[in-house]
Amino acid sequence: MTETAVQQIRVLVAKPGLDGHDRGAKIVARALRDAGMEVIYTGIRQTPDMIAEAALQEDVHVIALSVLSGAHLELFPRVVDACGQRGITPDNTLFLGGGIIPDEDADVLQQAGFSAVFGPGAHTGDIAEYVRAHVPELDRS
Amino acid sequence: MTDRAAASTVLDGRLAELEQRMLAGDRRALARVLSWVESGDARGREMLRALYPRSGRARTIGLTGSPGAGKSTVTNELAKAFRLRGQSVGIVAIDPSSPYTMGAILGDRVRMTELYSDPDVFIRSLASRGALGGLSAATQDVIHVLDAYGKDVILIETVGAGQDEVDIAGAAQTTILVNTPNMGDEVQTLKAGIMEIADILAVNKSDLPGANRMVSALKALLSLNPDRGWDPPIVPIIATQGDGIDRLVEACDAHDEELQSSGRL
Repeated sequence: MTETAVQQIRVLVAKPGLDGHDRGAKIVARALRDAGMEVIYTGIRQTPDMIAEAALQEDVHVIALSVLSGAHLELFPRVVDACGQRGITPDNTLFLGGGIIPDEDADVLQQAGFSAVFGPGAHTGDIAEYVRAHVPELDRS
Repeated sequence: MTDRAAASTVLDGRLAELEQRMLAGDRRALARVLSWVESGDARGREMLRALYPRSGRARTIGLTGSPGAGKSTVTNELAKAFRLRGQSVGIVAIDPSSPYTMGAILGDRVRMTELYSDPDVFIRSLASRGALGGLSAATQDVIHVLDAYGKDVILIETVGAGQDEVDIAGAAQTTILVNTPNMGDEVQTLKAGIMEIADILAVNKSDLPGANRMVSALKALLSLNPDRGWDPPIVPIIATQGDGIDRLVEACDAHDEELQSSGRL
């Protein structure tokens, strides 16, 4: 089964900031696992540098962030910056955001490098499908 | 000629460049090489061939034990102890893949967050990808790459292991079995397999009731093992508080010295 092994998608699920509400992050982690992906779960209260360093060491295709405190506009772009300093950019890695995120904020986050934002009510199957559809477009050379 | 440029002639331009970057300490290059090696990519095989002569220098320590015994926490504490001595550390943490979807949740990092900001600690999580012995098929190759990269100590944490997941003994020079009190009669079931491969027995959570009884039970079991020139020490620890970690490191050192002096390394 070398074929599937080569294509194994690796995802980092992390929660930047100080809110401890990790239910959503864990549900998404579990759903992506059930979709056949390898999910590195790093837990709550991560700084942007910790997330970027974990993404670097684990060489993930996807970085999925969850914030439920409303600080997403502050925290999410800082994670993209910390990743950028390590050569991890939206060209080679898919950035996904999750949380209570108003539409106008989602637009701002897309400008900042997030290719998609998933809020309450999003279907986990749609998230997995989105990841599977967009990982092949990344520049992993 | 044994310099770096000579070794790289086995690789073509782009791979040679990546190898140079990796050997110069570029962690992103290391991460990418590990991905290729893990997935069986042809570039990974070429890299391994080029890097293999540089490996064989690192100390490898394996940690195994049942799920929830505290392997990740002990790994974290050992990494901190070796870093205090100025040694660089690589960690390979393996978690199980789903037998149905091949997906996995790799959660060992949750217990290691305090190591993230240290550039001399490199943690890689691996999914077992269907392997049955407590490691993944690529674990040994991943260890070789971290070794060639220049890590002084490599800690390998197996999937939660029961009785027969003994592959770690072949992959690591020193194997630590992490036990907990209150395993009760379960300890009897450990007679064969995993109990035989342990070079060091840690009794974690030893502030819980039953710790002394566990130590006695382990001693009794070990006394039945055939003499192999090394008596596995039993070290009570409380990993979440760092208690006993110094003694665990001493036990690792003693086993390392024994391997060197007996020529078994």
